[in-house]
Amino acid sequence: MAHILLVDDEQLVVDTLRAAIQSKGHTVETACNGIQGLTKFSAGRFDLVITDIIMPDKEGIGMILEMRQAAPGAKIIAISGGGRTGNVEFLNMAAKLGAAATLKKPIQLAELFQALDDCLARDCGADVPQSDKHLAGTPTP
Amino acid sequence: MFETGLLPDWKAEPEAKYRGLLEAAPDAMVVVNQYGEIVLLNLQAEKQFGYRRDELLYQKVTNIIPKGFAERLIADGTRTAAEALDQQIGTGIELTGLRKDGGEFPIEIMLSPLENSEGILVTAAIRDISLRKAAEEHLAHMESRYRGLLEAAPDAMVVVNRYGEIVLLNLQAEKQFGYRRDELLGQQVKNIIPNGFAERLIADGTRTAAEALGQQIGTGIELTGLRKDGGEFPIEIMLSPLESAEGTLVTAAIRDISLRKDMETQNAQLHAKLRHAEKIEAIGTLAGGVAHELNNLLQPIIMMTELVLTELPADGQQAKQLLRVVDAGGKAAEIVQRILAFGRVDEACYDALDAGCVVREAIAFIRTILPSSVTLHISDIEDIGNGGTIRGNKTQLTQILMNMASNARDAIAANVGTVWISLSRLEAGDKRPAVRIGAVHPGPYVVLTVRDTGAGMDEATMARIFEPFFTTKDVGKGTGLGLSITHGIITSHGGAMQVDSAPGRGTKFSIYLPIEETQPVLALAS
Repeated sequence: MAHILLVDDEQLVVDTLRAAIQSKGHTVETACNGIQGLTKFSAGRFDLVITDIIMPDKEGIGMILEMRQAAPGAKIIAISGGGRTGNVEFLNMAAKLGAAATLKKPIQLAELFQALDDCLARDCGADVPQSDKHLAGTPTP
Repeated sequence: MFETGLLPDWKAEPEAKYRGLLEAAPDAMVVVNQYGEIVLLNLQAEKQFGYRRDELLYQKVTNIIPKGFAERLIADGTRTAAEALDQQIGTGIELTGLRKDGGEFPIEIMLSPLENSEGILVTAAIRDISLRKAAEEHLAHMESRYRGLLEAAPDAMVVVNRYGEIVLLNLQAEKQFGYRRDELLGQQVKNIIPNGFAERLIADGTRTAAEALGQQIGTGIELTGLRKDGGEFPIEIMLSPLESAEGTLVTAAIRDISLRKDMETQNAQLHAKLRHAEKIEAIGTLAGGVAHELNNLLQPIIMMTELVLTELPADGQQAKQLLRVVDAGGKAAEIVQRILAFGRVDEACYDALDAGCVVREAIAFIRTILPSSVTLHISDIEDIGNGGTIRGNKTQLTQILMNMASNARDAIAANVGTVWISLSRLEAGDKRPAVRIGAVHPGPYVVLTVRDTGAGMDEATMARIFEPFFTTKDVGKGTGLGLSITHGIITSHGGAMQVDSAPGRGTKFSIYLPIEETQPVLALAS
């Protein structure tokens, strides 16, 4: 079972996704914005990060950038409910920055499970070889 | 003082009477015999020519009128002196007088015969016309100056009398209306300005003609001009009165304002497009914000329900009910996606497409949504072949076709009607059509039209159909988003759109998509 960091500013979404993820037997830690997400990411060891894009304080794109700098092999699923220019732009950008999968809200249960299975089954990003199955939140030496 | 020469018969007459008459005459009077000698003259003659009477008597008349007088009295091979004189009688002849001091001055003479025993004498009444000539020259000079001004005027100038007849015009008037000057002079001004000009000059129960004109002076009046070839063009006229011997004339300065009107129209269209773009932009911002919030709320509705469903027997009543919640959530999510389409076309992936293939595939869907009361006519789809390669998103193009077809169906409503769909090419050399959405630039385009026999629309409705949430359909029948989304899709494809309609005359939508001069990479016919 995997340990997953879930970052979203919308509590209803956090509750929903946590329930869904936990139903598959995974453990979930949550954060309500990018700053909190980075803090928890640094402090813990996560198999996967699921993060929203549009958030107060620190939005998801910036957070993904910093996570990927700290841990190039970090597995990330980006999610978005859209915004001024639709969610595709943000999600495309997140994918370019190395997000393993992108999901548009509202996410269907099957979609979420499929993305979890795919990402967790993948060893790590092909572009970033890393031997450790668990991705360290601390910067790689 | 009155002296006579060879006039024995005159002495027999009551001399004082004639002398009085002669001396009182306002003109110079000179009597000349058949030898061209002055035999009698009056005080005015002395004054005019600067001689004393005795200096002129029995002298040749050519001394004071060097040319044109004596010759008129001379017999030649074809006429007698009497006949020669006869021909001159009563006519005013303009000649030149020569004063004693050598000065010349213009004169007008009137001749009359005077018979006596010596033969025929000639009486000449000589008028000094220096002043009149000077006045005429001045007038001619002024007229030439004013004519120059008139002809140089940048506007057409037309002078009209009280009968509405053109009495004067300039070169610009000829050019503007396409007539030669002689074709317009004396004609009714109504021939070139059918309405609104003559009426302005007419007196009625409440005003005289002068008052009527007075009310129009100085104001720019917009009317329509009519050219000789029947063409109409917008004009602005300025009227001013012109006093003349014929009474008050009206001078009209007529300006062709076609260019100004065109600019005004273009400006209005540009402003309308700008307002529309701003509105779409504002709605897009709003829609983006709303979509974000709604998607966050739809997330627990859909996923929590799905989670509960995983714990319920699939065929149970509760599971069926909860599935409807999931379905409703899904539909709500679709609407949100459509709203997002204002901001930009979402998920757009553009490929080289064969327009004919896209339309043929869309027609298959369209057939499924048209009731049997609506006949579908397809034309020209095959002909376009691979010549109609466009860069676009097939799903979106199918969506707009479906949207227009469903609008056509709804416009026909419960009636029997027809929907025509056609695809053609607008070649690079063809005239660019007028469009409401986007712009048709130089180059080839595919033209997709969907026409129906439905209720049609008035101009006010047409002006609003691309606005988000504008709908003519009953509550619950339409979201008012279809054509807004179409607008967004067409724009993102670099295309343009036109709508032609009138109440009771059906509607035609024309979509212009730029042709890409390469072959389609996707085989879409499959």
